[in-house]
Amino acid sequence: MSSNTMISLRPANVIRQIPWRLGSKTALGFILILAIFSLVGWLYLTNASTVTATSYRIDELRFELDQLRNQNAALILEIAELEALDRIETRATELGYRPIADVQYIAVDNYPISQEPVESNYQVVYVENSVDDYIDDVEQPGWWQVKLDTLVAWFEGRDVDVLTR
Amino acid sequence: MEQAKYRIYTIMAIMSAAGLVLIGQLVRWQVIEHHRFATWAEEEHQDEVVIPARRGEIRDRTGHLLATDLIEYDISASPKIIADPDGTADRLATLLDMPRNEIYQILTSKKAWMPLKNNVPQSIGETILGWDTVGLLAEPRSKRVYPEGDLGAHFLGFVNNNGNGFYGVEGYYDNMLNGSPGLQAGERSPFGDLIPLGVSRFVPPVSGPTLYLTIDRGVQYVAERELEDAVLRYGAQSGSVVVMQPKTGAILAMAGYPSYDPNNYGVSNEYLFSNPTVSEQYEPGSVFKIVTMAAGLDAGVVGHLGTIYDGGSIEVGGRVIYNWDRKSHGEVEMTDVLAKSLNVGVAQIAVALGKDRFYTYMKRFGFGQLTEIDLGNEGPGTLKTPKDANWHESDLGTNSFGQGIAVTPVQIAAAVSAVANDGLLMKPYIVQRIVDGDRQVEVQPTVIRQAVTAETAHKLTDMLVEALTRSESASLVPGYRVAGKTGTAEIPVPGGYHPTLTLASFAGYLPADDPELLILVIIDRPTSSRWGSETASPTFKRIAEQLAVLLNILPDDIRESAAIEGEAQLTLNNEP
Repeated sequence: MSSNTMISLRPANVIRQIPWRLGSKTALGFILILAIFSLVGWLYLTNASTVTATSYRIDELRFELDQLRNQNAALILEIAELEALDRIETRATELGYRPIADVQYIAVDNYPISQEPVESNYQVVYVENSVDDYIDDVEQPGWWQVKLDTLVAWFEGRDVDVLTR
Repeated sequence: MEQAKYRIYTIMAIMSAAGLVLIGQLVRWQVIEHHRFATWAEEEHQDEVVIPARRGEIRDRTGHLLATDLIEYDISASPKIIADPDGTADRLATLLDMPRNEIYQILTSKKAWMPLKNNVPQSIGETILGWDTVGLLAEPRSKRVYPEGDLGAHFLGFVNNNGNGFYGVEGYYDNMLNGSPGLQAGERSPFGDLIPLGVSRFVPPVSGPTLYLTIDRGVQYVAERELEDAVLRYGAQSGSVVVMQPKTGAILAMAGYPSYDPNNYGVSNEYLFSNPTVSEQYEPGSVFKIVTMAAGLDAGVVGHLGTIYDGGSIEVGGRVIYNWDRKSHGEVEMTDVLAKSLNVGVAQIAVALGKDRFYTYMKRFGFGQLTEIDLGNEGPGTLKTPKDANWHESDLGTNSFGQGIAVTPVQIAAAVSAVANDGLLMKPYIVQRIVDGDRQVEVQPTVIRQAVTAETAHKLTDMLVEALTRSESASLVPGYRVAGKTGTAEIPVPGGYHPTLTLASFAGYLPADDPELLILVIIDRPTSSRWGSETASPTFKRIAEQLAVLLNILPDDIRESAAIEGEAQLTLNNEP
């Protein structure tokens, strides 16, 4: 710094002479960045509060749904209890109903009978377990055993196949 | 000066040592035990709540509810954080039907947590939750409820307080009925609530499927009522009834007496929980003659119109076998062997069959093995065969009329059903349909094997019908041809058989030409009469008469006339 440099102490001059003084464009840029950040922050906060509120609402609805399901189940149970057979029988007896003693079926002449073949509503499944395989599981009498049985039967005075008449 | 330097070095050394200790501790916390502390910290903030799944319902074949879950609440309090114990006690006293002072003492106690009342109804629990009072807790809890009370207790089983199923369908299908529990995980607030904004996870619980049984509650009701009546009427100790569809193996009813209420299983004796129709093993007695006769006919050692000489006794393997009346009946028809229930006759059939063929047929009919019915605690019975060390030649004779062999009621029901079903042995089953949301699985009837030929089965059915008619059985149902056989089995005791007590039974099916129903009745230790023909047979008749009406099984003459008319109409329609 040279010795003849004039330094003014007036505030306006001081500000004007600050070495890092911003240009107007730079200041505008800063303001824009600040505005963008503020906007993003505002959006984030708004969104976050909406998400939180919605989450609480979902929780509430989930809870409400559970309660309604439980209430529905309780009502179904109540209906089932009211329809219980011993209860129905007691009530029917109170109303004067009696068990049937004799049932008579009456054949109605020319009653329209469906000619459609009645199909069973089930399909029978055969397991892989043939009779022959199963018999093999149990020891079959051998030739000698058969002869021995015949001999024993002969000694005992009975015919092995005496029952087949 | 030297002393001052010494002091400085000492202090520096102490400080360095302290510093090293601190650094060491920091290294331990930050590096060595980092994971433990990190997990600990996470656990402090993170929380996981398991959401129990709703247990699947059980319904009968017509859709009537047999078992479901009911929500109850356990009410408790954290006294330290209840702001207004006075007002809260006032409100709770009316709602919980408890003395106000008792509640007030609980709410003002110094303990961190105190229970108030358990198992309160759903409506009360929800009211308390609606108050949103800090410090007042209402915890939901599932309770298994059986709206029909003790109806079908033996095949249903029960569920304990921890949600585990025992016995019957509840036990057998426990895992399936339980469903899959859900999960809610996330950050926890200081009050213990999950923060909705934090990182969270929600897995919804999946309820268990609904099981539709083959059981018809109407049939079950008739079976249980008549069984109870029979046990009391004949002064018996207990009894059981199985009603089955012979063509499919579907169980329509399974009754055991005495029974228990699964809603209150805790007050019943444990021995009542077991289902006697699948777990209890007994000597079948003369009902078993159906099986021996089937084997004899099928193997061709006897003809269904043949005769046999009954000399009053027969020795098999060194043991003399007598008839129940200790009499000789001379030349008798095969049908009379069944009608008069002659032990000597069936023992001769067994001897003629030979041990190998006889036991092959026993196994064909499923004895000595599980039927694999979908119920827990099934017993396999006991069938000694020549391969077993404890088998004796005399067993061939005694087994032929159901002595020295142990079976379960469901085994006998399945075996006799095979005769009713053209010789096809079906697997008994109790769950008809499994409904899980939109998915539906229909259980199909399963043929285990052809026990005897259809021809044998038809011949035997005719013989059984004729035998009941000849013996003027009390099981006969007016209007229907009934096929069946009584049994009066002696009860084994150590060293032999009880001199007086018996197990009376009857197994029969109707209509004989197109069997819709098989009914097995077992009366254990009847005292008014020891004979199956005087106890089990009339019980069979009472059940069959009611079920024929209930299930709309038309009498034989109506069905025959309808069939003739149908054929006539068909002929008319087909005429040019």
